[in-house]
Amino acid sequence: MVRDDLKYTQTHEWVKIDGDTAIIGITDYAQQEMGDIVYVELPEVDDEAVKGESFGSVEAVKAVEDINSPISGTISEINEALEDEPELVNKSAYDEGWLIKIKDFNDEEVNNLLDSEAYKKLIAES
Amino acid sequence: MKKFGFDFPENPRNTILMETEEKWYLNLLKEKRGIEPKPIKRSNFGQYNMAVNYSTSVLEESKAVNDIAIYNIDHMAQVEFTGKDACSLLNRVLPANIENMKIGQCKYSVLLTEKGTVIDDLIVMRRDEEDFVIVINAGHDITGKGEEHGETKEFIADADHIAKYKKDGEDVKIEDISDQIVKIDIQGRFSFKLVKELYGESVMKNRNKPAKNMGYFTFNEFDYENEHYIISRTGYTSRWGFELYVPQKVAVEQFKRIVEKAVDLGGLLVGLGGRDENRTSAGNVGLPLNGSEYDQQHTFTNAPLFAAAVDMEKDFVGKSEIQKELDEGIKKQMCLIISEGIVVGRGVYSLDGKRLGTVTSSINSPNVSLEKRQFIGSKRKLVNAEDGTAAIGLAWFYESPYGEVKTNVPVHFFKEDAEKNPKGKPVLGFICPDGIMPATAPKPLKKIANL
Repeated sequence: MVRDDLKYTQTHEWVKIDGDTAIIGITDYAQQEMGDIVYVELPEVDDEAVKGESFGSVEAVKAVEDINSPISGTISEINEALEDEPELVNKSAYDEGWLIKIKDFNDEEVNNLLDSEAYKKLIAES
Repeated sequence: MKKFGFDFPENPRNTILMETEEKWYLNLLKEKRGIEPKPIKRSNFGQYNMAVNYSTSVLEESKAVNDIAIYNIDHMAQVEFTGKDACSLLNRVLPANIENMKIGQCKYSVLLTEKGTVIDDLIVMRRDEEDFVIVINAGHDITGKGEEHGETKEFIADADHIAKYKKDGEDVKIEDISDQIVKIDIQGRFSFKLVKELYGESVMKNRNKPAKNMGYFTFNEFDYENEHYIISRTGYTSRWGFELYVPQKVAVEQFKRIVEKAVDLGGLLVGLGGRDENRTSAGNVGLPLNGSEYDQQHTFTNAPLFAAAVDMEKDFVGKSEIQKELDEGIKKQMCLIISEGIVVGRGVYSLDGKRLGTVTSSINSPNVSLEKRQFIGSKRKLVNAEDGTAAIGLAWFYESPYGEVKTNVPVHFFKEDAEKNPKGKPVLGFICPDGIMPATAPKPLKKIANL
């Protein structure tokens, strides 16, 4: 499932712009590929997120993957519900399973991300 | 020279049982357990499309072995060596003593390079004075050029490695018989009951002392409905269990009987994910996996099964390097680790920052006791929950991390930069001397005969 109102990365993160906040998570395709998620490691609020660099990790039963920030900015909120319920990423990758929110980002970085059509193409080829 | 390995396949191969897994097994899970079918996640393992897990999760499948676990092992290959000189060829190449093997015996060994590094690990079965079968890992049946993990490599099948050492005029016939056989593994405490109900108790009797059950690391051959089977009391889990070699012609129908019975007994068909957990949680040291703990860059001296696989009293390919290491004194040591999360590829550090070794395998497990999980001192909720999980794995250390008395050794697992300097936050864990699950495999079958 790929949502039309989101932006995407080559490494299977999504970004949703909500006013001056960017919400970030991993895609439904990514959670399916990883299988049952058992732990999500998140950064602290006020940490700097750097485009292309890891801000945390998502761990499944068999593998752990770094999550790269699609854009640079300041982390304004983390999804604390994932501490108790990491499986929210499996159940609801685009809604309840979001990972972090970022402020003070650059709109151009957002514009340069993949749109839903380009992301659909990417996963169809992988 | 004649080539024994198959050409590198254009596409990953499918096992004989794949269609049955996809159609029949998922329906069975729905019918018997009410589990809605989900597409089976598959991964290329040794150029075979293998299930990572079925509609059940890796964790559920990992637990199945505590009752009964069935594995489709059709991807592994069997090569038969027959003839007057079969014994002396295998004995010349392999580190284990093949000459003293009894008919009906299984022996674990490895195939080494001239440098003493590991090409493959395998089981040898002696069917007769001049008849041996070696059971080898998936993909070790290929000779030729092919692409794996994005790089082009030259593959040499185990049979071709061994054939290099055949002398002119020696009488040895080498044949890959994998196409005639489908290997199905049956592991766990209900394995005896399953085999008894499907094939009769007689197939598990000791061939030399029929009043007794078969011993660990022995095998029997039997006929069932006019087809010929081999059953060995071996397995990759260190739990009670058997490996069954089923004639290909009847493999689908026998697989269905076995899996259906196992599901009725509370078990599951287990994919590569669960199998990886089951071998890591096997006994007090875990079982090494070729490609993870063993590779062609390293020797395997001081691995848990070294002593079982090698007889230094005889000659074998790679011996001089192994002897040199033994003479110089080996320090390196493989140990079992428990951690709050997956740490594969990370460096292991003492709490005061000394680098102790490298992690070669790590997977989450539902089979770690609460006491062991609490010892980690993790803040992660799942690690400390009553029915929680922790990661288990194997690591190579520069030297034994234990002192005189073997106790848990708390350590940090760090990611490392290119210069092997630790970076980021550590994952917490410890080196565990007594393992996850007791090894029941060598214990008498009579203990499970009445379950």
